[in-house]
Amino acid sequence: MEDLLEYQLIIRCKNGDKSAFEQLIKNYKDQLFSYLVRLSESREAAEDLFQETLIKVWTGLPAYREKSRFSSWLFAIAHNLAMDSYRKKKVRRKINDDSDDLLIYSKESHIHEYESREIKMIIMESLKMLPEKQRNVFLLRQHGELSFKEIAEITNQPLNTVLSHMHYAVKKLRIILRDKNVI
Amino acid sequence: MLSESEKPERDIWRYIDGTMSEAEKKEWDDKIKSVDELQKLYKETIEVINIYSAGVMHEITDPEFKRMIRTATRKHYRFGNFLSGIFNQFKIENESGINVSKIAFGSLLAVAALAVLLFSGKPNQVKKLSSDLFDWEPQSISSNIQEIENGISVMENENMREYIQYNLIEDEWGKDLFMIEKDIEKLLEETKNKSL
Repeated sequence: MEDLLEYQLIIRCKNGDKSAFEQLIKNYKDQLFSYLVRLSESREAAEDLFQETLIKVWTGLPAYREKSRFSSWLFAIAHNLAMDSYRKKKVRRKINDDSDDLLIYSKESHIHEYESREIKMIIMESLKMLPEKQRNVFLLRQHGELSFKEIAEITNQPLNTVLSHMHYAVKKLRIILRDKNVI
Repeated sequence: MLSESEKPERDIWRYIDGTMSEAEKKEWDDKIKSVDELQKLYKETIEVINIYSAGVMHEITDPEFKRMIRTATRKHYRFGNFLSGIFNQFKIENESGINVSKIAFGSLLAVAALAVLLFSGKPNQVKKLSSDLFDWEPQSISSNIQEIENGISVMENENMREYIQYNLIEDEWGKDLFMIEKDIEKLLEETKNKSL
């Protein structure tokens, strides 16, 4: 039933119905935004990526074929945009001084000091400690609620490799959480 | 990459996701109950997953979300992708790797160029040149030539030549001397003819 409703919304979006687009994205907005916040360095960066994703999805909808689930397609777009942004930042960081990184870090820390939920900070920081591939798989699984098969397609990796990344990500996160006395 | 001996670490995700067959699931249910290591792995995995799932959703406010939707659905964004949307309809990569959309795009450009050539009005106009430019002897040159020819013909007439020479002499004495000189010349000529 939900799939049918989603399908109808997609058809309306393809015909330029903006309200249908709002409805369609509303179902995934918090999942998608959380995924982007955790993947990027800050809320501001996540907002930019979220906006870019919406533009890409809206402009790409006329060409969207229902071969894959809409959520899988949506997260694939967000994932690719986030990866592009990550690569660009990586290049910029190589050019900039180390002091710039310290500045970003202290700014982030400063924001976190005011957050009442300490666990949120630990979670955010622990995810940053994961290698890129493990973090991608973990976040797509957690926030995208995608199957491992879909994640394998999005990240262009064999299914078994994706499962390995997930296993090691969970193992590493558990160690970090234990060190921080969360578990 | 997990080795074959670490298969349970991989398969546990299929169990958690519920993508196992009924028989496999039942087998795993039994294993988790009876094998301590597996039970521990399952428990720890679920614990981590739950921590990262619970209470850490980052929300985007409704006004912010609506503003982003408005930005994304602005006309120019979709118009920008209008052409690519059309070409996506043709996008079929065949086995040899030839991109049909590129061929379609190239063909469309060729047709458009042909249409522009056919319907873009009159061909380039060549300025009309005056017939004078093609005349071998334009009027001014012709008249000059005519004057020279007249002069030559006049010079060929003996009487006329004498007349002109006479007129060119300004003083009367000179004119008289000229006439005497000419008369002497004529007499000498006549005498010469008679003696012959």
